[in-house]
Amino acid sequence: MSDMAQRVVDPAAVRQPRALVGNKLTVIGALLTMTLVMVAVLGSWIAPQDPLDQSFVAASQPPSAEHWFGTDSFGRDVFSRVIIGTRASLAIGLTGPIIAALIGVWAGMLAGWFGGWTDRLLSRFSDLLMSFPTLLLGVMIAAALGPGFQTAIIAIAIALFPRFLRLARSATQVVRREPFIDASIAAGRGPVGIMLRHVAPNIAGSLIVALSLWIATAIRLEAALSFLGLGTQPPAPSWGNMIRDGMGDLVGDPWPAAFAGAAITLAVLGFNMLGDALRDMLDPELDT
Amino acid sequence: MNALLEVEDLSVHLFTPRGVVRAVDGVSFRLEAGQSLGIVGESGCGKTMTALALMRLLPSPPARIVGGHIRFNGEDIVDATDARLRQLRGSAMAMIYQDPMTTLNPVFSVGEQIAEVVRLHEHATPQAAFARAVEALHQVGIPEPDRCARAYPHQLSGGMRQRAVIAMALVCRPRLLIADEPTTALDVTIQAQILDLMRVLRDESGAAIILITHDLGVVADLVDDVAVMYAGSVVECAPVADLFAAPAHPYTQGLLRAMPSLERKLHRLPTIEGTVPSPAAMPPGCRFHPRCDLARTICRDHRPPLLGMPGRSAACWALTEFELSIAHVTAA
Repeated sequence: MSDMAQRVVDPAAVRQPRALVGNKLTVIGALLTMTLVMVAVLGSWIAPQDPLDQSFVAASQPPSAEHWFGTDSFGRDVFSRVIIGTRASLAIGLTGPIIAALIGVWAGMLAGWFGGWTDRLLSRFSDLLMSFPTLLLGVMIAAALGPGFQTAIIAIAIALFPRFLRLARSATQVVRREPFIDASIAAGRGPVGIMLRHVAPNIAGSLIVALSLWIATAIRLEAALSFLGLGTQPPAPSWGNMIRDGMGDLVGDPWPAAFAGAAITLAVLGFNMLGDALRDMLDPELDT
Repeated sequence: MNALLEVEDLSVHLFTPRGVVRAVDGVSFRLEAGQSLGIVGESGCGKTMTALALMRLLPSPPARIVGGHIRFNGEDIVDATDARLRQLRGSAMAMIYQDPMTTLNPVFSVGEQIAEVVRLHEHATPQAAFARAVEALHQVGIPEPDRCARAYPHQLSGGMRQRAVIAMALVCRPRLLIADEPTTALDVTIQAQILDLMRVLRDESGAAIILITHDLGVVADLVDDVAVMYAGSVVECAPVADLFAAPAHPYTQGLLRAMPSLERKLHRLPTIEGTVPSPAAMPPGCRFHPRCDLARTICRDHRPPLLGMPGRSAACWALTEFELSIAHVTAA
């Protein structure tokens, strides 16, 4: 009775998020994203000055004790603008991909599960959307709906939705062939139940990794749209329109563009690293 | 007596781009409540397709039931709606698959998965369902069922997983249990344990069992009756003792000769000459005739019907009903 004597590993010991602590990059990624979220939430309390407060006396100053990141050509405090800009960037950068994921994952699971005409219709539709470069599609949608916050979210959601559809579709096709899916059908579950209960959790790992990567992309997209004047509208700050404002005098006053660019870099880096960390944590096979 | 399961002239065809393959061709058998039936045959003879058809689990496309009836408790499964099938599956009829490594979902604990089946078919709180899962694990001889229920599949050994799979199949007390090669993927020692377990469960649960296997030793151990399949159809049906004592069909005789024996000292095991015909290119007449020593003209031209009495029959022109009944008497 060799297997009877075998010890069952205590599940409580396995559930520890060991991977999260084990890896330095993981810690950095998690800290970066957590800091960003905190900054976005607590922005109005952290910002030392009103980000909209103009002063021609204090225009285009380099960093100093009073203005940590310097001031822009209107004399507004760049540090405060970067902090408040985090809110717009993250709100759009998170909401867009999450909406894209909610729609795309369902559509992808349906396509991957049922195949045939369902699959052909959904896949060709997503191919159609993907044949446009993401930014161009965003610009087209933003131009059609008129610039603004909601437009940016809708544009990003539509631009990213086919990516989630494709990923969920191919992952579903793989999982669908697993015997435990047959076993679940044999246990009396219907297709929707199986998709929710067995397919979704099994493809969630790769989707969450993709989600955090596409959040990084969405933050860049939002910056690009704002840069082009189609996202967050001035005078409200966002990293994208700060870079645009700074473009006018990059030599004389590079600070607004430089710090907004650094914020974008950090945000993208943070979400990418977080994605890797989540992948390590979510794969149960790695826990043995 | 009313049979629990009555399969009549079941035909399953595979519709492939290169043509129609007759995977199951006119299979009939019956199974009383609490009885056990073994379906044996080599790879590709249609035994798994038959088993899947019983629960309407055939991969479709390409497979489709093209004819026949499957009566479960008098209800025809072939015409059942998807909703009705979902009710039956898991509660009235359950299936054990070959490979326990992959029939459990890696992202849920074993207990959650068994509890899920309970909640699917019975109104139970999550706690009550989980308690039932623990009880089911205990029933299949898992030590510390509490801890096992909280463990993930990859934390268990193959034997433990197969026990968990069996527990999942039995948790709603099905009246029919279909086991598709339940021991093939396991070590020999674990195989023996699982067979012991299935024997105990058969007696305790009163479920009828259909055991699909290519291992005659497993059949001898566990079932009351045996159906031998060859190239998509049943060639012989017999109580297990009769089959081993007096196989009627030349194919069955060949299979039994090819089994190693402790009594006979042989340098080489005899084999059945030739190979199973490709399902796409079936020989006319009796499908076994190209490999059969007793083949006559009639075998080439006409398919032999399954003749004999209920429970003891064979499909071979070389046999008459008279010979079959003699075989039955001698074995008894």
